[in-house]
Amino acid sequence: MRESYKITLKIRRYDPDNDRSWIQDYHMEAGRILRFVDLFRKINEEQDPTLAWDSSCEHGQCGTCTVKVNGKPLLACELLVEDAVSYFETTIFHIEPLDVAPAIRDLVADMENAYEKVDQVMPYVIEPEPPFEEGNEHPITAHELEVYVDATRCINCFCCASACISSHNSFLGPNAMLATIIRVMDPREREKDKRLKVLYSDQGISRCHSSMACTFVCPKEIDVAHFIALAKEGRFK
Amino acid sequence: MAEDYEIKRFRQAITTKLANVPFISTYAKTRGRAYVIAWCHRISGTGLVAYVMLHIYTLSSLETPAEFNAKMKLFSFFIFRLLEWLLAIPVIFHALNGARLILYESFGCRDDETMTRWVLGLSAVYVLLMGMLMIMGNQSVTPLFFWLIALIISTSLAYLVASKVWHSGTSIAWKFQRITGAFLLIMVTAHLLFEHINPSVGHEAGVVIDRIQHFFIKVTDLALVIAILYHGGYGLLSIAKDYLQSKVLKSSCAMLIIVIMVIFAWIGLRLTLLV
Amino acid sequence: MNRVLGIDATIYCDVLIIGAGGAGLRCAVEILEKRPETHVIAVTKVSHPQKSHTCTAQGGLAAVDPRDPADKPIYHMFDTWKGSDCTADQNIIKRIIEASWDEIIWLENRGMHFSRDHEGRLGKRTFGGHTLNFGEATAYRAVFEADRTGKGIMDTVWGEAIKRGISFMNQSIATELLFKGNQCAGSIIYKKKEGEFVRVLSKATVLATGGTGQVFRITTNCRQNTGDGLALILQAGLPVMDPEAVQFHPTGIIGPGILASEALRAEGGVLRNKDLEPFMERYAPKMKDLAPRDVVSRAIETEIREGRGIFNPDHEVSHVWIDLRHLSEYVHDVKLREISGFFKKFVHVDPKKDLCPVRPSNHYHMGGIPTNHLGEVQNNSLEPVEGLFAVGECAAASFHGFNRLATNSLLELITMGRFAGERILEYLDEVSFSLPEDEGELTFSRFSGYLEAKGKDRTAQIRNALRTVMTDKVGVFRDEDGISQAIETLKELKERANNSALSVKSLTMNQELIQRWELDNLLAVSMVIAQGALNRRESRGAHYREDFPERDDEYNYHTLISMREFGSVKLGNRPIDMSLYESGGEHYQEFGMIERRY
Ligand SMILES: Cc1cc2nc3c(=O)[nH]c(=O)nc-3n(C[C@H](O)[C@H](O)[C@H](O)COP(=O)(O)OP(=O)(O)OC[C@H]3O[C@@H](n4cnc5c(N)ncnc54)[C@H](O)[C@@H]3O)c2cc1C
Ligand code: HEM
Ligand code: HEM
Ligand code: SF4
Ligand code: F3S
Ligand code: FES
Repeated sequence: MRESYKITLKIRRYDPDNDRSWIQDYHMEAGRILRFVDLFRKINEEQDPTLAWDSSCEHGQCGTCTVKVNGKPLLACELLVEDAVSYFETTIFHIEPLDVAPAIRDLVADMENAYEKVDQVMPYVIEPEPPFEEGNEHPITAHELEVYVDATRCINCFCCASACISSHNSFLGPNAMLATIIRVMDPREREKDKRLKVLYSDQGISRCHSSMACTFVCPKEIDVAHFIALAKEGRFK
Repeated sequence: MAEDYEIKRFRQAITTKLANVPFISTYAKTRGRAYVIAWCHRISGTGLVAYVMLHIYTLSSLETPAEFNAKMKLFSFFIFRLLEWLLAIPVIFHALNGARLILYESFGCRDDETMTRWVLGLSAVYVLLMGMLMIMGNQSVTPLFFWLIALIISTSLAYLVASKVWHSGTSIAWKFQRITGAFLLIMVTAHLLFEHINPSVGHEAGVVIDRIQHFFIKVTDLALVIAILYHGGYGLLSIAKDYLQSKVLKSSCAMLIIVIMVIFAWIGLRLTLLV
Repeated sequence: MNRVLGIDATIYCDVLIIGAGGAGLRCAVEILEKRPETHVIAVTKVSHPQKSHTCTAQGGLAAVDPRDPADKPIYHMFDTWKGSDCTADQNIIKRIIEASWDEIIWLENRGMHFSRDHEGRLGKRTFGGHTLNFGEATAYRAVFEADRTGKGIMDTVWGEAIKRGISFMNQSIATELLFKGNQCAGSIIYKKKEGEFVRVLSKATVLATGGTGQVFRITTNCRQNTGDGLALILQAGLPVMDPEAVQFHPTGIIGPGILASEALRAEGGVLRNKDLEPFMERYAPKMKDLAPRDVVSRAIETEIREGRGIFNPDHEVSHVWIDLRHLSEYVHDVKLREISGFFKKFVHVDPKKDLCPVRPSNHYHMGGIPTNHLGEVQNNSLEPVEGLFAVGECAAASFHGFNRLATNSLLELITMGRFAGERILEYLDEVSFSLPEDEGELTFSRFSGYLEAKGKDRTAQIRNALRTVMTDKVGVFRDEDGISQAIETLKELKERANNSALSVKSLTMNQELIQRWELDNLLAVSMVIAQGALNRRESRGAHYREDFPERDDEYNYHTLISMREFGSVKLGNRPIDMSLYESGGEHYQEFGMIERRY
């Protein structure tokens, strides 16, 4: 097992002040279990304090640090150098910001902008079914929950949206589809019609061609394509 | 289980090969195998639309058999024969993968292993059939009988899919694409085989004209041409809609596609009815 | 490029929430549900509220189910009091715990996907320190959403907030609180994306900026937790309470600092040092690896200090091993699946075959902005500052005293969020807008200072030095000399910080500029943590002084520290509320100054 690797990061930079974009190479000796966020930090500390990148939890639980590495959208806080080298079979990595929204600076994409599509599908209970007994929980058995609980694990990292064969311009995106499917399947939601309308609209699941890239890239290992297919199958009425 | 293992190994062998093709491998690695397949489906679908248009245009010269025969002469050149043979690839791929998609989306067959088995099994049958025909050379089959069976199977498949998708909330147009897809699954693959039962069936104006005098064959051809133009037209529109954002652009694109498809449907109609 | 900094716009609203995490949004939703026409603006540093740190909380949320025949709120109160090492405020404990179950139902009814049992009721888990009948038996009292309880809360309150028409200002930081006399009138907000400064004027302002974990080198806290809220309060001349009360978790995975939960040791994991010696036998001959958190933390820290740790060259920290290799396949694959997954994902070891690297990791800040039971921020003389509220981890009401029980933090977020919301609704009726006296002079002098600074020092290196000294000297172990040295170092670092020039002077998403600003906050927070630790010559809860290893009744109070000028602190104190004890009700004797022994 190697202890460290000589790697090259080819990072797409963007300077909003001069509206200029270029690719900058950073060479470094990287320890095998450093994560890509650690590499960015290292670049900031040792080579170039101006490189902008974003992260928050660094636990793989918030979906802030998404970038494309050699074309694959992924969480930079979960990608170890060693794993990257063996997966991509190279020590040269092209790193780009996520393309679902315009870049603000360097690797920081405007996630706020990307989120507008999630907001459009109303990611909450629109009209709650009154609980069985006032002041108690709705009875949902573990078994009933199991059917859709996987979909609730989505952290809106937008990896799936970035990988999807359909373009972001006209598709609300796999994660927005999930967000609304959760509530269609949730027995606590009474307002199903509004949701189905969005789901089956021109920007909804008819833009999905079952390319299943969403399932492939999802860092939370959600079978996104399965949930979208449930909608196509007509399980929700 | 041993069988499963064989299939797995076979599939693995194929995927590893695929994964080593430079361009494809990048995508297989970054977006997954299914993503590459989705692009192949898209490309083959678009290619088939182009082919069908050309095809209908060529067929339209059946009105003057000499012209048709002259055109068909081309196919005696090796390179064109090869192209004709290569056409089987997009046809069978698009058909089987389309069937896979319908099974995945509308019949809940989410298990990749089973799907692969189906695709492999059916492909093998198709290839065998094609090979058999070619070896046996000149033979005859009553077109009526052949097409009766094909039509019955296709209509049943279409009905099966229709009854399944009908109650989903998807748009009618979307449902029809799946229904026509199911209908075409046998119709198109059979058409290709049929036209090669012996060389003259597909390439000699006289033989063709003779055949299509029959009312039943006319019906079959019409069903085929309408289903294909609808399916292909919707397919193109669906691709366009992925990229177009404004409502105006979307509707103008839809109009354009409808007009083109109607023109070709008219040419097809005329040739079937008039010849 | 020399730009004159100034206000680009002024925005008016009824309520300004600084920090759109679990606590801030729970508060916002309370207000919007009760009075939909209220104009609420929530500001968050991160790219979207969902990216707030609350989404990382895993374990659960404690609340006593009234239908549970065995459990009673009084037991939960006792556990919290005992856990806090007798430093929590009993009026707060009572208020929060009595409201807890209603909050769970509130969340459930709004769509949180709690894990369920087979009858469709909320499933419950047990966590360390939660007991029945005053320590007699283990209590199953934490409801949870699989391993993502915090995310469930975050999604729910965010969803409700947008449903009810909140306005968000994402990727924006609050840089200064604005006042009119003793009344808070809003804040200066720097919008990172646009590179603009806006003045948000509000009738009520809520601080909910979360934790301070970035003060330490290895922390479970997110990259954005730089203690901004506490720094804002200090900058305004207001006090911070109990800053020295910082909790460490004994086994954080090196690198990301992710928690490797107690379960590892409960299932039979063994801690080993460089020589593979199972060292806990020396520190706790009876309990060994199952000794309480603080004992284990100190044991590990001692091993590392005495050179029996292992140095990891990648993350440049020392650690010890936790050995799980001897556990059965079943334990690995079923019971410890999630944690094993973390080891595989973040340090690339297979717990079945390899030793796993862990070390104490900063986890939670019990101390924070002092508030009363309504969430109103208190000043040096313990009077409420009008129009200023604080909730969540940045606040100290104080529910956790000097040591937080697992799962009590999420409970505090949502209950205190609601209480503050209720109070704000009343308060809005009482006040009218008042224009603040200042217009962000402080912000602009600070920011132009950063932009104009000359010198070769680098923000990142200073921050690293700060985190190292805080971890070494004011971390798990503290003593007079170490803390004093740390304070000296912090002063030097402050000097160095002033001599570090920025490479790019842009205001648009200029990460270096933001980190420079955060560095000042980190320095301020570190300084008060160190000063608090220096002043408290005893050991209490998570605060451990090697030179004073016992709790001392002389210090039965909350520390208050204010610091307008860096380094010159003013100390004060706030008495501990003992109302449960003093009321003399049933079981009152359990709420005296008891010993924290498990
Ligand atoms: C790994 C881990 C596991 C945990 N597990 C549990 C558990 O199981 N049970 C439990 O009870 N507790 C747990 N906790 C503790 C709990 O998660 C936190 O205490 C809680 O999430 C804090 O919530 P908050 O709303 O106060 O702050 P946060 O969620 O941190 O939100 C702070 C908000 O303020 C914003 N902000 C910060 N500074 C500024 C500024 N200057 N300007 C504008 N906005 C700003 C941030 O962007 C963010 O939106 C855990 C903590 C960690 C680290
Ligand atoms: C032979 C049986 C066929 C079947 C089972 C079939 C099935 C399908 C299905 C299920 C789709 C939808 C895929 C998606 O959602 O993108 C599709 C798309 C399409 N089909 Fe077919 N099809 C068949 C034949 C044809 C033929 C003959 C043509 C050409 C005229 C054609 C052209 C297209 C086009 C252009 C698309 C759109 C591709 C895309 O959206 O990416 N198909 N087909
Ligand atoms: C190269 C192989 C092919 C040959 C030689 C061939 C030949 C013919 C012939 C001779 C006809 C006349 C009608 C009939 O015989 O019933 C016909 C009709 C038709 N073919 Fe093909 N065909 C071929 C491949 C295809 C393919 C791949 C498609 C579809 C994708 C297709 C679609 C059609 C359609 C839609 C008609 C009906 C046209 C009408 O009735 O107007 N053909 N073909
Ligand atoms: S579905 Fe998966 S990939 Fe898509 S946003 Fe959610 S977590 Fe990310
Ligand atoms: S990647 Fe896109 S095409 Fe469908 S299956 Fe997933 S949404
Ligand atoms: S920073 Fe939160 S997922 Fe990577």
